[in-house]
Amino acid sequence: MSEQYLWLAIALYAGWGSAFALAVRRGARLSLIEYFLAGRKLHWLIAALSYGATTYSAFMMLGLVGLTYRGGVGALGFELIYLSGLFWAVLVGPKFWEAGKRHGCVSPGEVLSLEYRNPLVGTVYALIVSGFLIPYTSVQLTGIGYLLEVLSRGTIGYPVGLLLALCFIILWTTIAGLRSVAATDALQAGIMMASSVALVFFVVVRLLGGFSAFFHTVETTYPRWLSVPGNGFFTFRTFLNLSLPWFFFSISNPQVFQRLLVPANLGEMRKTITGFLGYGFVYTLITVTLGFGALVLLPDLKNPDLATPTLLLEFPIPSWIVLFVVVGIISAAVSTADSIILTLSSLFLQDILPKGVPERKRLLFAQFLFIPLLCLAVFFFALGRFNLIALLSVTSSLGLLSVVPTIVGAFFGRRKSDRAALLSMILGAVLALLQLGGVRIFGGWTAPSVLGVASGVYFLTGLLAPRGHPPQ
Amino acid sequence: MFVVFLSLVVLAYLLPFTVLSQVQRFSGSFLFWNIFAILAILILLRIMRSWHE
Repeated sequence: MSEQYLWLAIALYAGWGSAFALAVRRGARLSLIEYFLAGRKLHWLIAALSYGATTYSAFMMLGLVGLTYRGGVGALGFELIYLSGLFWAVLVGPKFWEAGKRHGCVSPGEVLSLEYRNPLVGTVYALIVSGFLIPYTSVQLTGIGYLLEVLSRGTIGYPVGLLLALCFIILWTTIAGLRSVAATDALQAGIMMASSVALVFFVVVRLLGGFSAFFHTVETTYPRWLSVPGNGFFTFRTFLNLSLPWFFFSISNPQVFQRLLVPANLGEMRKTITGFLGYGFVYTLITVTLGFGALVLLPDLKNPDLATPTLLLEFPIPSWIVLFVVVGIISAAVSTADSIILTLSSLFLQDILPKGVPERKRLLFAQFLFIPLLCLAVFFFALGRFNLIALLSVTSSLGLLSVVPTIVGAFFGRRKSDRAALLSMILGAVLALLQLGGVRIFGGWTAPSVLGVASGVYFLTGLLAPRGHPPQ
Repeated sequence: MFVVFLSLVVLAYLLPFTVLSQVQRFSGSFLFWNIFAILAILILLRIMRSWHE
């Protein structure tokens, strides 16, 4: 792939994205609700596309393709179980939205603080989710770095890809907050879908002889990839450990959980979630199909995460599809990363920064201190060049499981206790960290143990809490 | 509805590792997980219809 073509595609992407971001900035009044929640006035279609672009990251076209390549159909089950996890957004969403609107909350941490009547709950929540999300955000940059390095055959160095991604993130988050992030997200969601559809059709129809031939080839050449445990990668324990954190993704990940505060009313929220469910189902099928295609075309890859870039490089795929896909993957990574950075800065601002700072100053803090600092942290983490995109993504989600009982309990618990919430989050996070560090306390059942311990501690501490401590 | 949905999720974990573990064709776990996802989406749409402010 010619380096000039790559730069041209990136320049077009940057130009269109920035034009979108600037176009929606006009008329936007500077306030916290405007900056972080787009004034609760996003059109449902933009909100749904933005939700899709935020959820689906570089993980899909790189990590999920690689995971299918490595483990087969289990990757489809894992991703569709994630999609069904929108159940939690459907369950918690209305109550969370109502509480947020009633109290004028901007961050999920603020809602939790109010529900538990203790600001420390929001602070601890903010610290825990930030700690686990920085590696996940760095994975997005890693994806862009690898992709450009492989496709340019090393002429665009890995750090250059990281710096490019950082520029887009800083620019599009600071222009108009969620309003510009959502507008660029919607554009990027369109690019992600259209580019992956173009690639999968070319791979299956042109390179593999059509869908019937493709199904037949996979069934006869790689039959063990069509069942679980199949080739041995997806044992039940691995499958559960990978999928359980993602089943709770819609509430455990604050960048998507916060989006439930955005709709103007529940009707808009319903349309947003419905739109996303359709988008997610189609996008998942496309990426898994691509993984099977890569398996047939590139049987001896050492690093499955590089299946998509290698496919683009090694086969006579038209340049416009290649460039479109490259921009699609960059879009997926940037749209996830900028939403996370925006959400984390709202958590720092509302749940960690001392109260009493005027709104205008808070906004300046967000734009010129928190967002650049978070970007730097993510950049330095990404410089470590971790090879395991899928693994890093999932292990970040493992830590975020620790906040799930606190969130569900805030809206459905009979006896809400701030002590229960704090202990549950802290012990759950510590257990996740220990397990990520290699300590196998529960025999390798990482995700069930984090969720089990956090839930158990929440429930038992809640039982021991003194009565007469009702939430507001 | 909630019970039906959660039962469906349990089946999505169990069936591919038991009944379908020897079916090494697209008509096995691949088809099953697709049907699971479509049913899950339909149930979620039904639950959301009951939302009121």
